[in-house]
Amino acid sequence: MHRLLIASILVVALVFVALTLVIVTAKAWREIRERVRRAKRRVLEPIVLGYAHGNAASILPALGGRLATADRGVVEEILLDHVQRVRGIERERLGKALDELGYVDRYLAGLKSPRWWKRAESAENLGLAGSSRATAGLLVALEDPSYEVRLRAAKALGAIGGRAAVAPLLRALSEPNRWSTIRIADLLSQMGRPVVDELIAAFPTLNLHAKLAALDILGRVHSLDAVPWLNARLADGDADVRSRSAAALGAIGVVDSAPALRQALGDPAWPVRAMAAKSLGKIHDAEAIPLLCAALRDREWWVRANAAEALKLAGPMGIEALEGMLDDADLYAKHQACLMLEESGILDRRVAQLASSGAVRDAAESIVRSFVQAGQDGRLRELAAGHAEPKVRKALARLLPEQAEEAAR
Amino acid sequence: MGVAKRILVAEDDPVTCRFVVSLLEDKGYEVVVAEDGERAASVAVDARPDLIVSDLVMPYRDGFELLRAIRNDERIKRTPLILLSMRDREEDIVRGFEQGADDYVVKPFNAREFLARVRKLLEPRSR
Amino acid sequence: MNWTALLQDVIVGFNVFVVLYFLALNTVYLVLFLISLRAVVKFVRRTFFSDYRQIMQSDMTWPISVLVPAHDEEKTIVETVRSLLMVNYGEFEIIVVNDGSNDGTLAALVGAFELRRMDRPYKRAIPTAHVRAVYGSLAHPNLTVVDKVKGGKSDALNAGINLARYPLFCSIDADSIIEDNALLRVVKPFMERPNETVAAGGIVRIVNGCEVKDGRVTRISLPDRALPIFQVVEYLRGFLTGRVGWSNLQSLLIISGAFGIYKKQEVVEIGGYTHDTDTEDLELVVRLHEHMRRKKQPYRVVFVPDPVCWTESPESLRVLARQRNRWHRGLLQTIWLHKRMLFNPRYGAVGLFAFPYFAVFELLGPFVETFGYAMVVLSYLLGVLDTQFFLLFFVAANLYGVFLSIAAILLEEISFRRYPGWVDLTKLLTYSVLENFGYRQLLGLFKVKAFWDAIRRRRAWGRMQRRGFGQEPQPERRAG
Repeated sequence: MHRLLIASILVVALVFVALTLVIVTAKAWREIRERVRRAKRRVLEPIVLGYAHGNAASILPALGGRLATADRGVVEEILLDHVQRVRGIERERLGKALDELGYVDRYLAGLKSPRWWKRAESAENLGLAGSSRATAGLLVALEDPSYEVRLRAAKALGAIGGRAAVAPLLRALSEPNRWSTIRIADLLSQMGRPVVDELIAAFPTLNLHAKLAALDILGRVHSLDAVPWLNARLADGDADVRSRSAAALGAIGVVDSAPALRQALGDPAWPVRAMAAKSLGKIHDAEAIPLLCAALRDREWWVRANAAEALKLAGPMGIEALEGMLDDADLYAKHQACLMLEESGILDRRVAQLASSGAVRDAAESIVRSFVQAGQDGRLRELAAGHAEPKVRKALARLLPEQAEEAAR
Repeated sequence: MGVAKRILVAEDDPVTCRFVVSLLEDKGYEVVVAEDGERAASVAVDARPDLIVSDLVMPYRDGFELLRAIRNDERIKRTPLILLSMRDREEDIVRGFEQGADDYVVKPFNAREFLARVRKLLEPRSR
Repeated sequence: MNWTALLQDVIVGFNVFVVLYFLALNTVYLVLFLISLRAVVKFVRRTFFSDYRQIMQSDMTWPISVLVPAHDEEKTIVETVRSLLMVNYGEFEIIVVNDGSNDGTLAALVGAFELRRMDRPYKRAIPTAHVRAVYGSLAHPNLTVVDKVKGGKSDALNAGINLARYPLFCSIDADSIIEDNALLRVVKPFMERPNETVAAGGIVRIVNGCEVKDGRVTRISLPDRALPIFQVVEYLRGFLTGRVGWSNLQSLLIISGAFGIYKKQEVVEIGGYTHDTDTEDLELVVRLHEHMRRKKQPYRVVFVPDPVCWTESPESLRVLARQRNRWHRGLLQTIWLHKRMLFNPRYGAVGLFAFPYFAVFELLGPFVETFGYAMVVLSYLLGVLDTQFFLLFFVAANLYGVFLSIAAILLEEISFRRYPGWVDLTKLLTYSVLENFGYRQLLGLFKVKAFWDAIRRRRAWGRMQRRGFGQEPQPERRAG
C-alpha cells in the first residue's frame, strides 16, 4: 500500500514538473517567435501594401526578386489580413500575389490533407484569395465529412462566385441535418441577384425547410424581379410559406406588393396576418391604414402589436389613425394605440398643447381624456408631477382622477 | 499645391488602420492616427485635420459619439468626416448621415473609390 | 473484543473508504480533463476562423433580449447599461428589472437615459410580483426598464422574460462586465444548430486586479491579494476542465447566472426561474434537462469555452464564506428537488453520470474531506494513527490537486492566454500549489457549514416554496 502511494506521488510529481516546464518553455518560445515575426512584419508590410496600391505587374521585384523561406509565413499573413478588408482592384492584386508566390497551390494541396483543420483552413484561404482555379477542389470539399470543412468550402465558393456554387448550396438548404440553414442562406444572399432566378426555378423542388429559407433569401437580396412571384406566393397552400413571403415582401419594400399584402391581412392563419401588418408598415402604404386599424382588434397579440407598430411608422396619417383608435370599443386596440403614441412622443406633444388655447387645446384635452379612460395613465401621472410648464401640470391634475389605485395597495 | 492635406484616421483595428494609412500616405497626404474615439476627439482639436476618417465601432466613444463631439466643437465643427463601418444595413447608413457624417463607406471597401471620396471632400467647397 | 479494537476497525474501514472515494473522484477529474483538452484544442482550431463579423451582419441572426436584474445597484447600473448598449450585436434589446431597490437605482437610470413611463401591454406568461411601471427611452429605443416590487432575483428574471420581445434571452448580473463580442460568441451554437440548442453559457472570469474603464476591461492582470488569486485558479479549473468536459458529454448542468443565453420558449414552458432554491441558475438548467429529456427531443446545452464575462469576486473571507454557503445550499436544494433524476436511465447521461457526480462528489466531497481530517485528529488522540500512511496520502491528494490546477493553466495557455505577463504566469503556478494547503480545506469547511444550514433551515424553504407561486394575483393591466 505504501509503496503504491509513493509510486503514485512520484508519478504525479513528475507530471507536475513536466507540465510546468511545458507551460514555461511554450510561453518563452512563443514570445520570441512573436517578436521576430513582428519585426519582420514591420519591414514587409509596407512593401506588400506598396505593391497593392501601385501598378507593378508582379510583387516579386519589390520583395527583392524572390521570397525568402523564412519570410513565407509573415508575407502570407500580411496578404491574408489585407485581402479580406478591401474590395476592387487592390483585392485582385493581393489575390494575384497569393497565387504568384505559390500560396494558392499550397492551399489546393491542403484541401486533400488528412487533418480536418488543414482542409478547413485551405478552403477558407482559397476563398480569400478568390482564385477561380479553386472551384473544382472546393466543390469536392462540399462533401467533406467534417462540417467545418464543408462550411468553409461553401463560404469560399460563395466568395469566388460563379454559378457552379449555386446548385450545391441550394441542395444544402434541403439538408438541415448536415448544414446550418442559416449560414447557407447567408452565403446565398451574399451572392446577390444571380441567385434569384435559380432560387425561383428550383423552388417547387425544394422541401418546406428549404422553401422557407429561400423566401428569406429573396427578401434579403432585395430583388425587384422577385416581387410579382412573391406576391403570388401569398396564396400558397402552406401558411408558413405565406407568412415568410409576406416578410420577404416587407424587406424588399415596394408599393407593388401592397394590394396582395392588404389581402393577406385577412388570412385565416395569424402568423400571416402578423407579417402582413409588419410589411405594410415598412411599405408606408396609406390605403392600408383602415385595415391596420381593424387589425388592432385582432385576437392574436402579435398581429395587434405589429399593426400598431405599422401605424406608428406610417407617418402623420398613421398617427391620426392611432389617435382615432383611442376611443375604440376594443380594449386591446386602445392599449396598443396608447403605447404607440407614447413611444413616438406624440402624447408628450399633445400634453404640451394643454397650455395653448382654442381648438388645439380642446383636441389635446380630448386625447388626454381618452388615455385616462383607457386606464393607461402612467406617463400622464409622470408628466403631471414633473412637467416644466405649470399650466400643463394644473390641467393634467384636473384631468387625472384621484389615485385610488395607489391607496388600495 | 501648398502643404499636404492632413487626415485623421480613427480606427481600432490595427490592420485596417495600417492599410488606410498606407493608402493615404501613398497619395501624399499627411496622416495622424488615433486608436479610439476618445483620443480621436482630442487629436482632432490639436492637429486640426482637413478630414477625419473614423471607424464606427471603437472603444470608449464610437463613431457616432465622436461625430457628435466634433459637430459640437466650434473649433472643428466644419471638418468633413467619413464613417467607415462593417455595418451595411440601411438603418445604420441612414443614421450615419443623419448624425452629420459627410460620407459612409462600408468595409471591406474599394480603395480607389475610397480615395475618390477623400479627394472630393478635400476640395475647396464651392457651395 | 474490546472497544479499541472496534474503533480501530472503524478507522481502518473509513480509511479504505476515503482512499477509494479519492481514487474515484480523481479518475473522474482526469477523464474530464482529457475530454476538455481535446475539446479546447478543437475549439482553438475552429476560432482561427472568426465568423463574428458575418454573424453580426446577418439579418438572420436571432435577436436577443438581454435581461439585467438589479437590486440596490445604484452605483454601477448606469455604467453597466452604457456598456451593454455598445455591445457588438445586430438586433438586441436590454431589459433592466429593478427588483424593489431601496436605493436610487431607478432614479439613476431614469436620469441617465431620459426614461419615461410607457404603458406597455405584455403577456404575463410567468406569474411574478407586482410590476409597478415600465419605462422606455426615446433616445434608446432598445432599452426598457421594469420597476417591480421585490421578489428576488428569480422573480426579477421572470418579469424580464415576460417583457422580452425576442426568441432568445440572455441573463446578466448587474455588476458584471460583458466583453464586446460576448453575445456574438455565445449565440454561435444557436446559429449552428438552431433547432437543438436550448441554452449556452461562456467563461466567467474574475475582474479583480484588472483595469476597468468606462465599463470595459482595458488591461488584464491578476489581483494582488491572495484570496482573489485563489479564486482565479479555481475558476480556471472549474470552467476550462469542468464545464468544457461536461458540455462535451452533453450533460452540462451549470450555466452561470452571470452570463447565459436561453431559448425563451422552452424556459416559459417550464415556468421560468423558481424561487425554491438559492441558486436559480443551476436549478433552471437542471430543470431544462429534465424537461427536454421528458419531451424526448434532441437538444443541446452548450458551454462556449471563450471568455465572455468578467465579474467581481469576494475579497474578504466573510463574503466568500457567504457566497460559497449560498452556492452549496443551492446545490443541495437543487439535487433534492430533482432527486428522481439520480441514476435514472430515462434522463440519459445527465441522470446516469452528471447528476450523480454532483450529488456524490460535488455535494458530499467536502463532507468526506472534512470528516477525514477530523478522523485523523481522532485517531491521533486515540494513538491509532498510522502517521506514515496519513502523510503519504496527504501528499498524494494534494499533489493531485496541484496537477489538476496546472493542467487547467496549461489549457488556458494553449487557448486564450488572457494573462499576458510572466509575473501573472508565475503567480498562477505558485498559487495553484498553495491552493491545496489551506484554501481548499477552508472551502470544504464552508460547504459543510452550508450543509448544516440547509438542513436546519428546511422549514424556511417550505415557507419559501409556498410563497413562491402564490404571489398576489394582481389585477390584469395588460392588453394581451
